[in-house]
Amino acid sequence: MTTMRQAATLLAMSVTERQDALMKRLRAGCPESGVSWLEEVARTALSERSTKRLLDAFPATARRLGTGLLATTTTCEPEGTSNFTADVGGRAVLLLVAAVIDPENLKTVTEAAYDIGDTREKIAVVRSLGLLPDNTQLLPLALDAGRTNDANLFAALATDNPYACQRYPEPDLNKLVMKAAFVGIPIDRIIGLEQRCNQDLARMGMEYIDQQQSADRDFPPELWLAIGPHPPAGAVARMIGYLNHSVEAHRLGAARGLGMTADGRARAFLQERSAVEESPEVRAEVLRSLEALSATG
Amino acid sequence: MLFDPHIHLASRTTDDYERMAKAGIRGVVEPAFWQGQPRTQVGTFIDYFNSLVGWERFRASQFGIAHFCTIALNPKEANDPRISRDVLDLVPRYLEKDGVVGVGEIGYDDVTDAEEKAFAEQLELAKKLAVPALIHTPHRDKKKGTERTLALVKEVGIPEDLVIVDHNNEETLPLVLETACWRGHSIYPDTKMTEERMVGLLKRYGTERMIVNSAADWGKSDPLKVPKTADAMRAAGFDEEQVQTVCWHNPIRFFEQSGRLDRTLLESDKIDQTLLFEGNSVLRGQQPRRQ
Repeated sequence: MTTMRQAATLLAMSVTERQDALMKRLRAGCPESGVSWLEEVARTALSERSTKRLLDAFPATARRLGTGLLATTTTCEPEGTSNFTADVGGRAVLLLVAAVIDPENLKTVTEAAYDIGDTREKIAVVRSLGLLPDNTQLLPLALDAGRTNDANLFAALATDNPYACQRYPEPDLNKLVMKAAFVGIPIDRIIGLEQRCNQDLARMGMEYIDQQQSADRDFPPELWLAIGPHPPAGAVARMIGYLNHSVEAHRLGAARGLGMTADGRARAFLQERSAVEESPEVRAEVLRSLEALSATG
Repeated sequence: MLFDPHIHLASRTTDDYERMAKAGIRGVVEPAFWQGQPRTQVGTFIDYFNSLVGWERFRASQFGIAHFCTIALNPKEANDPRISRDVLDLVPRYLEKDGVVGVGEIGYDDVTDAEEKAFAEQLELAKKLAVPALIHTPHRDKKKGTERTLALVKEVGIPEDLVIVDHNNEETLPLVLETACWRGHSIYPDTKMTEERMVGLLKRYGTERMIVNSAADWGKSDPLKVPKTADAMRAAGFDEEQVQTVCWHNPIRFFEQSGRLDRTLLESDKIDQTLLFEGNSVLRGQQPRRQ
């Protein structure tokens, strides 16, 4: 998987290399005046060994660099940065500079940026978590973001961000996944979820589906991804049932979930579906799942 | 359209917002000041400043009012050594936040050394960042306090165009008129200045750089004093252009010097009460209004 390869690259990248990778994208996508401003802030902070300089510049970053999506370059990006906007990229650079100036106090500086930040600033801190060295110590900050009522801040932690799956303890991660499903965030964008799936999460997911069905309500079809690797009793049969659902997204979710089950019983049903499925996207997923199941024997 | 360039909305109710919007107020500046009782730790300032750039701005937007603010350590609390240094250290960072249109309120209250130190440091900051400074003048020994204020402005060397000296009266205004500073007047139910006296000052001195505000806060005050002054001006024979100069164009021109007063926010009459701020709404079960 590309995710795995990128994660390995991130581990091999030094703090300065991560900074350089972001600066390259900022130079390509932001106003020249904004980039010079950021470089000047970083230079002054480094020469004065002052993290306060960086914190004082934190709020202005969006105004200076803009908030547009940064284009990716051809080289390998650090994981979780492909969706960075200019302000997030600039603020991540400021935190990486802080990591160079005063690695001992990176926790204090990052928390100061977060605590006094408005929502955009907080989002930038949360999106940068995976890039920062020794980031286990930033878990309390991430847990705080995970408890927010602000949908955008929560999404910054839960989607396209490797941090939660890297550092969250299992009970907290399970709550995060369920909250994502509950508030309508696609859980297939939780980076690294596959490796962190567990029986308890599968149980919670299954119970949520039961609860929704009893109330005659829909559920997010990609929830099967959280259930597939450790399916509770009856879950595989339910997914097989959803393979024939009239809604395409449900067929897709069920096919993806089944591919993760390592349950040979699903094969015949997937083969049957592949023969009649009209949606190319679902059909491709069905075939992928069949392949995954044969790989697991 | 009317603009109230000095009002402490964190202390006001949603009824006030509704009445202000109905009376034609489309934009406000909320200067950071004290809260009626002393704060004892820097954290309460952080939360207060956050509310000025966050929740309060959102609340105003829900009634169709564009909310800007100024950030500072206020003169009164500059006297408290437990918090003054830490708060002053926070100010530069908040001055970089969106919608922060200057440094304020700063100035003298009791005219102490500690006040002067904080006042000078924050005037220097406004000069360095080239943003407006909103200066409070003392309630007691006001004339002398204003003289010292103007002397300090000269000493620091901040361009006078970037300075508003607020809460003027018949005694202090002539001093400010000798400078290029902008002239602020807080119209109050009982103290400071009334609509009628304000009209008298405008008749005598004209409308150039003249600004009125309600300075409404947690005390007995009136958030409709700008519209009431506009009405008093009309009743006294001022034409609409003159009313607009004092109650709309002047304060906007002054704070626009910050480069952070987004006119599109002022000119838009959009209200979207389906929006949330950090997941929170101002509504309590009402049907959200969109226009």
